Amino acid sequence: MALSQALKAEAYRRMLRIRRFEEEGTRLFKEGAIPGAYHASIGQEAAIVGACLALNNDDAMTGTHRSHGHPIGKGADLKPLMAELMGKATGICKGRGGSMHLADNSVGIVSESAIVGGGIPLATGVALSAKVLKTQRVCLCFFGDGAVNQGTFHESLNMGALWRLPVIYFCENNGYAITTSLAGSHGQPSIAARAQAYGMPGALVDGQDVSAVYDATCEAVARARRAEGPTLIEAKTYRYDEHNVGLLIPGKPYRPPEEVEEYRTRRDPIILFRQRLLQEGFTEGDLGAIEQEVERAVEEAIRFAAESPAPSAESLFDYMYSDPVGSRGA
Amino acid sequence: MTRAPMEHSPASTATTEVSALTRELSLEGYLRMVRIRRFEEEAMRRAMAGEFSGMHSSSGQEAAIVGACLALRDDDYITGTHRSHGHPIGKGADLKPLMAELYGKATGICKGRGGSMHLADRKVGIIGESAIVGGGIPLATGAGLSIQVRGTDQVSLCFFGDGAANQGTFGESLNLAAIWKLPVIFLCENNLYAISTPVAKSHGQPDIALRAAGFGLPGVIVDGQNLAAVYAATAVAVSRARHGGGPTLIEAKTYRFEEHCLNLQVPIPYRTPQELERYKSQRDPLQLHRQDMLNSAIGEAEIAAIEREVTAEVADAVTFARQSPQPDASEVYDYLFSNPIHYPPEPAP
Repeated sequence: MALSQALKAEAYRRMLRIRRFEEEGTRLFKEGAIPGAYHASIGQEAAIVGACLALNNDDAMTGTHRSHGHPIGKGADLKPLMAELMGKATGICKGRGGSMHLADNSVGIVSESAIVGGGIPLATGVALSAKVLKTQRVCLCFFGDGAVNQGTFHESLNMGALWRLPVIYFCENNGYAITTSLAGSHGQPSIAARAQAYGMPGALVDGQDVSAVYDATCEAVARARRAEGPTLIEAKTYRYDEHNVGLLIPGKPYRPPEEVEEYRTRRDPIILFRQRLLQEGFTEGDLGAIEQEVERAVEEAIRFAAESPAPSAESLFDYMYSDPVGSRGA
Repeated sequence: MTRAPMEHSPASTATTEVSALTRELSLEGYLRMVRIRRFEEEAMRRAMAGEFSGMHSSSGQEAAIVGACLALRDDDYITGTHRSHGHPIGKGADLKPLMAELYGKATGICKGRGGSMHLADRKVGIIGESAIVGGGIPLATGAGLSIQVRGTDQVSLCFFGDGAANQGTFGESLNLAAIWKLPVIFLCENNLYAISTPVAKSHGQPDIALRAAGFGLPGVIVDGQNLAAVYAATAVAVSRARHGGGPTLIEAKTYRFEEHCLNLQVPIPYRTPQELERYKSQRDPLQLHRQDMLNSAIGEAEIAAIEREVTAEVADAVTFARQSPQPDASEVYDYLFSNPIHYPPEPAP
């Protein structure tokens, strides 16, 4: 299924929302306005948005430590996201989640997990729930190349395949687990090839091409909705920044500067897609309008977050339990 | 070779060409297989008579165990599982301290501390059994890393079952071994059932050996009821490992003749009596190898002599175990730590 004109515009909008949100977030982090750690998805926008556009709004999704892009790709409002990064009471998790534990239920995000490989069994469980409840819901599970070497990957993919669960295992392979290259950590280089071990299809896709990612994910989603089970998709992508903002890697560089430069200039998913849109019937005016709209949305999100209050001290013990221990029988 | 049983996937027949065992290895292999069978049968009887507590019998899986062990040297390492009396016996261990260990006696191979599921006979390279399903896989991988770091030409062979292949430790260990080219042979005794759960209900696809490709190592399927076939496949893997070629995953399609463990009553039938009977009558690794020996001009008398010898060995092992003393109560805190903490202070001079 190829992207419609309307979806093309939406794909461009969402990729740009991720890029601009992350650029501004990076700046705010460096200025001290955002606490904790900041992992930017810059460079990986096409993999995220291409996958998310193949889903319905009520389809589920799980994320990783690098997970601001995932809710944005799924269509989340930027304001409560930015407020969450700043730890504000108006944040999507009321300031309790922060950068690495966001969950925007309104767009189907079940959870993010900063535990590498931690989201894979969660997504498998969500898919089991969809099967038991006989809904048409599918679950998209994002994880990185490092997570593939966790035992949870192995255990979850086997169960997903065995029980034909409606889950799409989506690997954003950006080539490096922090500084460890794929060649230095995987017995063989194809992550998609691991699928055959479990009896499920494995697909390799150019993660810098949003429409290719969309097509591959649509096929996997259709398969999942037909109750034919999971698919493993490997999207080859690239991270522009360091693993997290401000991380200094001592010693010999783990990737050559030319490689980063090559991706930034020739393999940038947004530049590539913009050029394509101009060839496929969009005008500079159309794209400029989207760009301005995104700019405004990011500015508003920052203003909203900055002006929002911090959580009150009295609310410290709230939201720790769904039914707080000791709250009854008083 | 004999066609593999239908309960296993059709890929069971896709075995590599089997080279004949030498006469010497053929006899040694039979000796060790009969030792395992008689040891397990006698241990079952003794346990049912209440002489010691439960056990997991390796009856039916002897060819997979012994075929693999015959391809190893004495100084090569192996790790085992919860079903692990057969592994030391296959590697050449003395039966007396093994039986004494099952009885919990002071003369046991682990001085009565290990028992059935935590045996370790260092003399024959057994670095540990683990009753944790999948627990031995990273241990064997670590032993392979130690070999590589120390620069010896040993190898490490890891026994595990079809159930363990679904543990995360399997995925993590195979990947590490492949990337570091560790001298490890991952040998899966696929006996079709994890307790009562069939492979078909627990694995995304039925051939465990096919999982190897995803980690970048060779995967081999072998008829686990055929001693010579298991030996041949393991010898290739061992040679590869000794020469820096890295690990191999071998899946030996085999069958367990007893229940998962002694006295276990599984209320829901998970395998048919006919299936069990067919394996016992047509696919018994001891009977198959006995016939192969007779066909290759090893005489009945020589074979019968081995059988008599083993019967006597097992009887001696039981006598030894029964007559051995219990560990002394004063030693209860011994062997807990290699360098004990809270050790009693030295008496003042």
